[in-house]
Amino acid sequence: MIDTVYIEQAVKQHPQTKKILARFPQATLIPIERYGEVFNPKSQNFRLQKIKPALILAKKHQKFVHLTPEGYGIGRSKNYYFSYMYNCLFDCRYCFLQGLYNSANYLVFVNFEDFQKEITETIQNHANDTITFFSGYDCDSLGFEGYTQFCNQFLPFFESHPQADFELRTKSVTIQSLLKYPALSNVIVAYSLNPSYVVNTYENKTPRLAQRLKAIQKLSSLGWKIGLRFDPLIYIDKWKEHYQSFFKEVFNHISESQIHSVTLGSFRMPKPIYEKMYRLHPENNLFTKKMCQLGKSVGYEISIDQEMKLFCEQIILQHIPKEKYFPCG
Amino acid sequence: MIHCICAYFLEAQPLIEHFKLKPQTSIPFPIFSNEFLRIIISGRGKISSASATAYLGALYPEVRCWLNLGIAGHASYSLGTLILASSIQDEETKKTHYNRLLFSFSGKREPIITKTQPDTSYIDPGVYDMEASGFAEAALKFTSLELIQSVKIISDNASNPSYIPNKQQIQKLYTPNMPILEEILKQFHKVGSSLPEINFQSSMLNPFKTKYRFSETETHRLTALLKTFLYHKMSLEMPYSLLAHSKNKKECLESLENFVKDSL
Repeated sequence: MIDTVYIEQAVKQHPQTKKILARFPQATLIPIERYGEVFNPKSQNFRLQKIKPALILAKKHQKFVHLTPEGYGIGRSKNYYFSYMYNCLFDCRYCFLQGLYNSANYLVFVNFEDFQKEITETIQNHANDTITFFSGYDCDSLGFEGYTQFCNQFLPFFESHPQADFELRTKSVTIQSLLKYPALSNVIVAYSLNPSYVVNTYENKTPRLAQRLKAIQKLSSLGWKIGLRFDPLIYIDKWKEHYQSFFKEVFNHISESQIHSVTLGSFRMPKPIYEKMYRLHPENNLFTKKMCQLGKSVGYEISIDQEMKLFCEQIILQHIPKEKYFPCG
Repeated sequence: MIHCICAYFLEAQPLIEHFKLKPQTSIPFPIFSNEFLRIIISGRGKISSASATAYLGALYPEVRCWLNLGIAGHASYSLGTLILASSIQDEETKKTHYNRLLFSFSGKREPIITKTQPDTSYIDPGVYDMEASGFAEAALKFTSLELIQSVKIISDNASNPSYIPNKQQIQKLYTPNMPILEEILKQFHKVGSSLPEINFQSSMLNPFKTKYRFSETETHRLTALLKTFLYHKMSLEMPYSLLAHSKNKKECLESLENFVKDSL
């Protein structure tokens, strides 16, 4: 439970702030001028803060929408992401968020209306393109839904912009918000999945694989388009056995017709982020595997990476047509 | 171990007695300690508290938890109220440190404003002291924000300004707060201990580096493997033996990884 909320004075009276604060009546409220005072200082320990993250409510002032990194798409010609939140409720050891920010506190930008304004402008600027917006880049799209009601504001918004696709990427099984709406044809609920061994070993505080598959089944039965995100692949002992039975389990739970897209990605990240993650958890066996530096990134040795991707790709393509498959990077 | 900085001996005395701390040195700063707690008496003001903090940090850089304890003023809180800092602001520079609390505490949390001179105006909202900002600034050189806390016990307010308590009065302010102070110290220590203790030294890599030339990522991997040994309290004899028997660096790293895998 969140016991401390830092609030930028500029958003103290914002309706979204009030709604969120109503969920934390016992929390200590600490006024701040700018979120950077709390979020950015270097002398913070991300690992310690993960014990009990605080919440920061702030206003985002500019750059609401960003182009996604190259290779991050699911079939449309233009791909953008927006981050209404930095950091995640979950604590996945391999996640690049572990090394991205100095703070593990949850930073929520409450001015959703400004995000929507810039998204609308972006859509208008790409009238002749197909376009996808991703919301789960710097956070889990649904992880904080109980507090932010993100879906309640963005599902109707994208319903009124059917020319753009919207991906909610998540590991969360908090799907009540989605269940309130009929399945929207331009919304993809994309689940990040990994074998149970990986979930149990490296994905702290996340719903177990079986719970996620149950949520997928529920959503797909109601007509929601499902994205399957096998990203990143994690190199574990007997990985072939683990991934083989994992894919079998996943594709047994969902019919091909309900699958919008499947992505597959490597464990690879910019070197400074990798080094920060490593410094936080030097004892973790994630870092005892064979890694190599490729350009400015660090990841598994190329031979391992390629073998894993090829192996997984072959199984995936037994279950879905090639048009639905999007390898990352 | 927790390091605690108090301005005056009188402010430290209840803790020294409660935790049966032994005098360690008296020059340049009086220090009292046992295995759990080390208190240094800094003298008044933020420069003194920064100096004492830096001195203790230089002597014992491995200590993670840092606490500033003392009496302070507030406009309205009654005498004897215990406050845990939510932030520490230096009145002069306006620099603010936000203290992240990672343990349960149901008491009051307030911003502390560190004044350069005694101030009984109580105009600024918050707790007034004269040491916390110097302490926090110096402690940050040795630890992270989450492991820096400041506890104040209100000894003056608008109804009792300029109240300078004597030993008996200090004891009267502290005594009801001792159980909660003890609990704060216990929980604070627990947070500090949640980070793994790995006594890794880069010289431990030397035998490996002498035999093979490792890339940066291989060095990371090797370091992670050695740290895994140390984290699980395993001796480094085995890694060195595996190194001695290895034919190349690939074999060396793989045998280390396999050994770790089989042992855990």
